[in-house]
Amino acid sequence: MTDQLIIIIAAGAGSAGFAFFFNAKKSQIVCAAISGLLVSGLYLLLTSQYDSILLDNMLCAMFVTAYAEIFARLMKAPSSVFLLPAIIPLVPGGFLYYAMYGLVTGANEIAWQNANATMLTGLGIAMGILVVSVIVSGIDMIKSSSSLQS
Amino acid sequence: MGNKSLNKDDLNKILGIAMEVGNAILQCGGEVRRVEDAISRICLAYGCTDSDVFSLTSEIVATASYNTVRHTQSKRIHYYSYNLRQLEEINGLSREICRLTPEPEEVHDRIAAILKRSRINPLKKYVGFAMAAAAFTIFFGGQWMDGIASLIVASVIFLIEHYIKKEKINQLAYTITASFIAGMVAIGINALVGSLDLNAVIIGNVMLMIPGVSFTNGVRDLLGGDIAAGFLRISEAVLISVAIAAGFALPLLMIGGA
Repeated sequence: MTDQLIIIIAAGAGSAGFAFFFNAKKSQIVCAAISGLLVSGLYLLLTSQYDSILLDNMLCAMFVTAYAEIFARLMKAPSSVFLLPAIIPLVPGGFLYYAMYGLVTGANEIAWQNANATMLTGLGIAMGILVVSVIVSGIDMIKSSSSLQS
Repeated sequence: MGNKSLNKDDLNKILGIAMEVGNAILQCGGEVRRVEDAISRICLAYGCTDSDVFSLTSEIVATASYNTVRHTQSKRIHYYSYNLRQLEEINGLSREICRLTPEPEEVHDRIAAILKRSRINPLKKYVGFAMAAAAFTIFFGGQWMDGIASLIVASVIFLIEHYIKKEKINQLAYTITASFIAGMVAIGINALVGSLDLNAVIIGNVMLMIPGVSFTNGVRDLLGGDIAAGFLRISEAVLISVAIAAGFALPLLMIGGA
């Protein structure tokens, strides 16, 4: 349990670090930290429920994209401002590294498994963003047909 | 400028500021669709009858027309770096331009002011960099000591990025070199201190360099219907990821790591 807590806090700090690095405002850095905490918590919860990298990452990316779109509207800023730092904990840096490490050390099994996981993670993130973006643009279309502002 | 007819000179000015806005959005990490949208809205707001914009991540081409008078400009983008404050302010300015259509000269000055104001403070950038590296080392199973080691490696990467990297440098060559040096430093620290989780230290720094954000933006470009721009960004992200893996693999191969 404490291990998981440390992972969650580390993800929050990591997202906040990236928000700093990307020159976000203070309030947006706080948003990034919270999204990092939430998404890593959700990820841990999902991985304990479903044994599918694709599904776990897709659901997490859906959550993050929805979070970003909501805060973009609440705080009147482009959604990228919230999405980009928030998505960082999902980036498959670990899988990519172990794929390379397996390749270098001749452990082909490990290399293949992790390369596979890297690609599945990327695909899952893409699908998650896709689902929410389609819903959001649908809502926007309905809204803009009733009033001519966007 | 209102509803008077526009000559070629007016179109030149209008398109000029629209391109400046588009360029600024693209350089700080905006999506291609946002760029195309901003340029075409600005042109229409100043009274152009039509505007055609095509943008990739490295090039913008736009034509503004007033009835049969047409004017085209293009802009090559060599370099981008993510800057969320600049993105937000330019986006706000672009909306304001469409609402109030101020004189083009004034817009030009305001863009320059935003670019100056939103420049990233190196210290802030460094704090973010070091914090993220240490955090992700711990995220991927490292201990406190590994986090500190990761912070030192990240400081080296930051120095390279800040002082050595030039704007038009070959991105792949730079990435391989930087990750090679970072890998060497990580192995060096491990040799000095011993008993570090070298994998976690390196992963923390891989997370700094891996273009997850470009990948995300590429996916969003694809979804917005900008297939060419989306695939460009995604293939760039994949190539850079391979370069990172290759750069960190070399020192592990040469010296042997964990």
